[in-house]
Amino acid sequence: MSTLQKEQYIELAVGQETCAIRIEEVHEIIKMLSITDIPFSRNEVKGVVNLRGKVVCVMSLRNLLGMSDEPYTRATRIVVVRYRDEFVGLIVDKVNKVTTYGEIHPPSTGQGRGREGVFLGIGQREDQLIGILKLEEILGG
Amino acid sequence: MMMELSAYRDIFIEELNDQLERMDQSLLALEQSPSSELIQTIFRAAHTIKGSSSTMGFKEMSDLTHEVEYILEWVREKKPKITSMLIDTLFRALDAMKLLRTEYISGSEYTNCSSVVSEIKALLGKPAGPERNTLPALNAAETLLAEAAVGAGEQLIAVSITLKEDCLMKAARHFILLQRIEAVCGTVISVSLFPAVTQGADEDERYGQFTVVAAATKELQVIQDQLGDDSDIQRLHIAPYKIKFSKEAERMIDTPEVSAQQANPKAEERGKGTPTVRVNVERLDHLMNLVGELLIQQTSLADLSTAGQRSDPARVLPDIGSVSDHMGSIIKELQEGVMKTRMLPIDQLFSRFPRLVRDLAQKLDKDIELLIQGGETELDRMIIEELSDPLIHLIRNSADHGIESPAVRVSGGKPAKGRITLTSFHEENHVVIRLEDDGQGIDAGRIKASALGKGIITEEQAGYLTAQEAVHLIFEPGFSTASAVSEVSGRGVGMDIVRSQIGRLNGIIDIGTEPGKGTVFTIRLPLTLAIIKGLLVKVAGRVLILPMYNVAEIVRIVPEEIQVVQGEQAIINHGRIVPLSWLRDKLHYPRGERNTKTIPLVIVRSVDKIAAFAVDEIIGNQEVVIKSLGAYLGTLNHLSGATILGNGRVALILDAAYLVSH
Repeated sequence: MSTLQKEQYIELAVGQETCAIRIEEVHEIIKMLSITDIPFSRNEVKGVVNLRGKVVCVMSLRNLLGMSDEPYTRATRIVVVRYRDEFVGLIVDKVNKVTTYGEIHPPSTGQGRGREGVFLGIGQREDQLIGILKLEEILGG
Repeated sequence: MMMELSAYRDIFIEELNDQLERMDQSLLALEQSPSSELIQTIFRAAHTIKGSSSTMGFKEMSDLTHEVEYILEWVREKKPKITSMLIDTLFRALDAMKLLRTEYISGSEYTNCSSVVSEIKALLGKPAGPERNTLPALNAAETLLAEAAVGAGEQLIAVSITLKEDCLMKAARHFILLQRIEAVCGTVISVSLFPAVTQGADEDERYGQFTVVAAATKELQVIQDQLGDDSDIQRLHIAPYKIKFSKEAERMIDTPEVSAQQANPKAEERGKGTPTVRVNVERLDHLMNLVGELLIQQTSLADLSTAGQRSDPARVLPDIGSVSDHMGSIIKELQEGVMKTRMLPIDQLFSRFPRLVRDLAQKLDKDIELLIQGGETELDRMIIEELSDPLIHLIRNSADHGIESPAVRVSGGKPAKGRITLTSFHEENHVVIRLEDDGQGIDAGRIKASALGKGIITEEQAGYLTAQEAVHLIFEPGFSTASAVSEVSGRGVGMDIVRSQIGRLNGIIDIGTEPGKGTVFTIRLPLTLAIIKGLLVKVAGRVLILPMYNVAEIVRIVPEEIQVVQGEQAIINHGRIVPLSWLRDKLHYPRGERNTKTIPLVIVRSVDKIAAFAVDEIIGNQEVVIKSLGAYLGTLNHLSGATILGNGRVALILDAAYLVSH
């Protein structure tokens, strides 16, 4: 766990939840772009955007975590992450800040919400608990 | 050392490919008309490969080429008659070299080439000598045995025995000798027979010459004495045998190398994956000049911008316009130039086929010649690679189903030798590839009956199918007329795959056939896949792109023109019934209000199918750069990619083949 503690995280809001992504996995954070939807794609695939000449697929993190979509607001951001040698965009409601955690707990299991494995661990800062996302699981699952 | 060499790996592989190709071609030519120049060419190629592979530490290859070089030298000096057996042996050696190359590239275990080597030896009539590289190699299991023996302090020996010519029942003799060797020396690790010296010889003859690798505890001389008194042995040779360690053992010995490789796994991967292109220096210089011109134009643009800030901006506008025009033309030329660097002559592909046809003719017991025309036609390298499989399939079909056996041909008044002609040429913005055979042609009636029998078409459909349409049924999945499945073709999975592969390249395939005279397949392909001309259409507020190659026509109709045939919408276009669908529904976009009186239709053609699609608006055509949608989205059959429009938005490029067939 010691390596996890030294790392920096991007903290973001999805619905009522706050979660974090390891900063190493984040390529950049951009404002909402116009998305071209793709017919016959999975529901969580929102479409593709033009990221400076590159076509990048964007996904709804809300959908990926089992929440329904909400209209985009001025705070909506696309977090572009590196995943298996390509870029994938994750739509989040809000990006809070870059942070570190004093203590990281192993992820809790067996809550029966069908979301086991999506967290690398639970970061704790003072009395706040934040789930650290395991991209491999979320995007590859 | 390893690290340094890995930098040359790509170059080595490329050179290897070139030389192997050259050998292949020269061998084919040699078979047609023997000449000492050709032998010299093959010899030089083998020599180059031997040299470079030993530099790269690719011992398996250099050993094999050494043998090939040996036989070529013999041919060059002794000038024997070039028999088909000699050619076959050389081809087999070449195949073994190709196999080694593939294994080298993929980094897998090397195949044992000793059978080819001994075949060469047999041809030369050279007995298995004491040289180390003529001794049989051991397979994995045998190597383990040998390693164990060495570990136990035993000595490995190779016993080469040639039985007397007049020795009867050589096979039995062989086994008796094996038992003796086992008794005299110790564990027999491997036994390799030499193949029959002359083809068609008695099976028994194969046991006339063999080499045994055994683990021995005694001195060589003692063994020599104990075995040498056998009256049936003509020649006995015993030598110490050195094993090549198995990969595991090698790794244990050679740890520094391993760590170097582990430290740099990325470099290894890169070595495997990146294809390279050779570009004419003249073409590169031309590109460089264009870039230079662009820079000059950019400077004048910057000057104009400063001038505009100082004085009235309106006065510099005309100048900016002309600079923009000039830049536009440079960019266009640059685009063409860059495109040309991706182009390769189609000969790169065609040159593989003479060998294919030769092997097919041999296997099918037919006499077939392949004529190639227009090999210099240039095509995008990616298309060339993708074309290989479909063309191989078509050639196989022509050889198997098209060309008749010599007897049938002669009785039909044709020359005994069948002919397959492969032609390529440019036509407008396309490359046309034509594969023509002078075989029996395709019988539309038989195709119809077979399709009916397989349930591909109904009785009713069979009634109104024209001969031409019936012939196209061979492209339907699950269709194969060959009554028996042959080794060469006829598994019923071929032609539909050919069609879909051509379709994926935005190409079109057509068949022309005349019973008794022959069949022509015509494939029409775009020059490149990187940039295409696309038709931009608007559907449900979205801009979509259809490749122009697939757009047969754009028409406007009034709703009254839509007919309903068998419950499906259709229109009459040039006298034929064309199925009609709404692109909006097809792509599951939300339905919207439509207030125009006429409906714009795009008639899309892919391979041999045609369909009309109603859109909301036709925007126009433009050149679009195809961008990949990336691997994350997985396979999307309905899309062939995406592009970025002038306004920065991404527009999807529809796959015509999918549209017309779903």
